Amino acid sequence: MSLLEAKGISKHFGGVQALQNVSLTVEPASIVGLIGPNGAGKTTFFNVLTGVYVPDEGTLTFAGQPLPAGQPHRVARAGLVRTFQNIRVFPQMSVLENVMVGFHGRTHSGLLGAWFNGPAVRREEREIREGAQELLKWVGLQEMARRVASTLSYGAQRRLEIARALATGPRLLALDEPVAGMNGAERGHMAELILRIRAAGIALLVIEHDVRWIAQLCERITVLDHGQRLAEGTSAEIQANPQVIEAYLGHGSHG
Amino acid sequence: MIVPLPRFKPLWMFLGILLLPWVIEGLLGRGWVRILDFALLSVLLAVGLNIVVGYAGLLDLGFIAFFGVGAYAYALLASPQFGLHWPLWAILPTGVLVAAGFGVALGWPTLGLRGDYLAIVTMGFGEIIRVFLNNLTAPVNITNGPQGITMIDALHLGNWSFARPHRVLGIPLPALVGTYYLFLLFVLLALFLSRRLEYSRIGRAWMAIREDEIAAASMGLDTRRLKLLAYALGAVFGGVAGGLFAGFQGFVSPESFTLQESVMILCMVVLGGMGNLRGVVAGALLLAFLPEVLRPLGGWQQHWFHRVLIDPSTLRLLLFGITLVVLMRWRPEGLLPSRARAREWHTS
Amino acid sequence: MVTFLQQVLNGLTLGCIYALVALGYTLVYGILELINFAHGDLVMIGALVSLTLVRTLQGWGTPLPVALAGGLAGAMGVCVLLGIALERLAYRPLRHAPKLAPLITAIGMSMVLEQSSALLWGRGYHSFPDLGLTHSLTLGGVLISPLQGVIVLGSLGLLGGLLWLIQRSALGRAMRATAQNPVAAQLLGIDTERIITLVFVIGAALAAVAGLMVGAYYQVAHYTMGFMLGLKAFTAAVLGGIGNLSGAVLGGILLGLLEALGAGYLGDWTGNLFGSNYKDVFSFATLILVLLFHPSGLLGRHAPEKV
Ligand SMILES: Nc1ncnc2c1ncn2[C@@H]1O[C@H](COP(=O)(O)OP(=O)(O)OP(=O)(O)O)[C@@H](O)[C@H]1O
Ligand SMILES: [Mg+2]
Repeated sequence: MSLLEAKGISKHFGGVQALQNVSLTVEPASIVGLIGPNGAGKTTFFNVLTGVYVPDEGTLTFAGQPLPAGQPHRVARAGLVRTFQNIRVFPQMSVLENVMVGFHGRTHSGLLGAWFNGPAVRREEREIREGAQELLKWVGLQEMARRVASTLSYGAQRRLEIARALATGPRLLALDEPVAGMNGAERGHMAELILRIRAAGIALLVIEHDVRWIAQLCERITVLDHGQRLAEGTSAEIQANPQVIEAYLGHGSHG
Repeated sequence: MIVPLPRFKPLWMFLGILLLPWVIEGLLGRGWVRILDFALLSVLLAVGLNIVVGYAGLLDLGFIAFFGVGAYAYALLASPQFGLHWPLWAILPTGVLVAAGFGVALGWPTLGLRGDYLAIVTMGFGEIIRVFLNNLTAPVNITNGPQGITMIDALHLGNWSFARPHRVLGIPLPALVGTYYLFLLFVLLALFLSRRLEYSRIGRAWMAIREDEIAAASMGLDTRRLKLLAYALGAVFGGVAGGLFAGFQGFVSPESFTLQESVMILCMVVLGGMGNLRGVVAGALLLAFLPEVLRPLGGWQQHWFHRVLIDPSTLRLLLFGITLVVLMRWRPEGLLPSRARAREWHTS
Repeated sequence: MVTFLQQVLNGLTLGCIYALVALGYTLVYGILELINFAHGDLVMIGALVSLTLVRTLQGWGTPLPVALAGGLAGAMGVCVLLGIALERLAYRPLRHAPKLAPLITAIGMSMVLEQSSALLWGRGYHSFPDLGLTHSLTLGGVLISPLQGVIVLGSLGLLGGLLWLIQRSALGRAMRATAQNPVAAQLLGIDTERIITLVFVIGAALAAVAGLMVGAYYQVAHYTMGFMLGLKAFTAAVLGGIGNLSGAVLGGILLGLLEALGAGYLGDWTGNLFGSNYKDVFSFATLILVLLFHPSGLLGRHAPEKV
């Protein structure tokens, strides 16, 4: 059974048809690439997937269950989490607190817990803290735990977003242009991180403009153009596809 | 970050707070102890509103309505109006439930929408509740209309009435000082509960929502429920303050619950520093005493110009408005800001 | 039937005034996504200024039409200046601040305007000069005062003209472009700051007109009158779909009708237990219901925040 199955997704904004009949599947613990020129609808697809937008048409199935449309927190709790193209860490919280927020959906202490602050609550809080520190180590930010998130470099903020997303305990992690604006060495580090995440049994759906970078990472790639699925196939197939080359050259490519 | 434990203030500060009403009575007279008691109720209100505005970042412009709901709940359950004379320990939980119920009923339709709708809906609610208080006199006379409800039972626990002087260990305890200690207890409890929340899983979630609601929801936070919780909690604090107010004052009428009062409490929170308890307490005390500072103005004008040119109560409200505008422009974090909050205001 | 028509007429009159005010809310919200809480107070100031001017001019023996024109012009002048000052001094410096800041400023400015008016005009009620337009004619049993005719025709004319302007003129296009996408509009060479000022000017001028109309209609003006009126006009804007200009007009008129009919009949239905003293509850209940079931309003489009 596929982990994620999106069928016939359409979404429009006023006169703009941002997505039209787009389908895509992600197998468990695989890496899938989503590419396409600017304005192709990639981010919109993520927004529909994660419940930020409600699709006009189409169905979304995750691990055999329909995904709740328009309810981001329930999508996240179902195991599908994302990062944002225009980085959205909680800017004035510390790096550690950012990741601790990610644990919210998996922890339970409520109002009375906060007030009485009993042993169970304190233990949970300690577990959250230790878990968050563990994740920061994982993405290489352990030295920065106490820093205010907005003071981090661009690349570090991207990794923080990933750590925060991992804290929710996802089965599918969706990354929106995780290496945008990064140099070669940083791209290498990000690829290594992505492979490590996959090795931990988490599937990834990655948006990226740089076809070569994504091709070395992914099993399968889907290409969007003008809101429609232009092609789908293995990395090699996509790189050889004349339509894809045309679409990229026609729009002026990034990579 | 290490969670700061509630810090115990030095002993002398604690003693100072305990002795304050005695000192004030000695220096300024009994009238000022009464003002001090009312100031503590303002602190309670401000601490409640701070949960909504300071922690969750929601603007509530009808906060005084919850104060009104609590006050009328007490008035109806402990006065000749219905011949009911419930004890305090029974009224308080009832009032809490009623206030929370109102909070949820109002918050529910708006909290899924953009934040500014909450502002206008709460503002409307604050006004509408007054329409009801003024008019719910038929078919049964519930609120007694604009005259309000009088002869409300004084605050009392068992046989101990807070409206009468007592003698404790041979020391005479004036009624107003006894009330001060009762209100102080509530304020300390409110501060304790607020502080615990601020540094809990829920407080962290509120902060995340305040900073980026979409990102918070995308990380699995049920933003609507969390906002509703903040909103209802604020309502509860306001309701409790209202109950104490009714019992203290002995009568309630709709005119105590106007938009101006809501703006005043907002001003207390903003002036002190949204999200920072110390600031909020300072702001509340400062503004609670403001009318007393301005009061002599009327007399002076009478003396010098033989008429009152600037009505002190108008001036007070004008100052609230100006304070809000000036603070938002030059010092949005308030006088005693929380650190995270100060950064939030200055980097976006 | 006659009562019904009478209520419809009264509602229409009220609705036209709501529409004028609602347009001010919707124009500002459409561009800045800000609820300008002080807008209702501009209406109040419009009423008080025009009242004072008409009285003074009449005192000098000026004929009524001239006095009225003078009152209107003066009120518009004052309101427009205040509108510009409001935007420049209070809102513009906060354009990039967290959202709470302009909202709190707006409520603060509302308080400032209200209490300044209390200082200038006192806390009492002022009766509006008799315009001699209240002598009613009967039309099939329905009482129509010339004043109602002037209010309805005048505001419909004004609203129609404005909508036409915004749909057709280059300036209107620039306004709509700014509302849709301020950044793109700026790239296209539109001076968005000027457009924003313009929006405040239009809103304030309409508020002044509405102020004169409510004052004349109810024959009374008071420094707190802007609050409820503002709340209702905002409800009208939400009902029509906030940000949508025709929606504001539609919402205003609907709300006026709803209120007049509701207040008129509610008393009958409930054996006078709930009479017209609950009429303010109507608009509030409307606001809650719209937000609950159809937050984008009648003509509004639901535009999700770009993520
Ligand atoms: N909330 C929105 N309102 C209106 N239009 C939108 C919205 N979100 C996206 N669009 C439009 O939908 C189209 C697709 O945008 P999208 O952001 O999904 O593209 P993308 O493939 O992610 O592009 P990029 O590579 O630049 O990130 C664009 O024309 C965009 O302007
Ligand atoms: Mg994108």
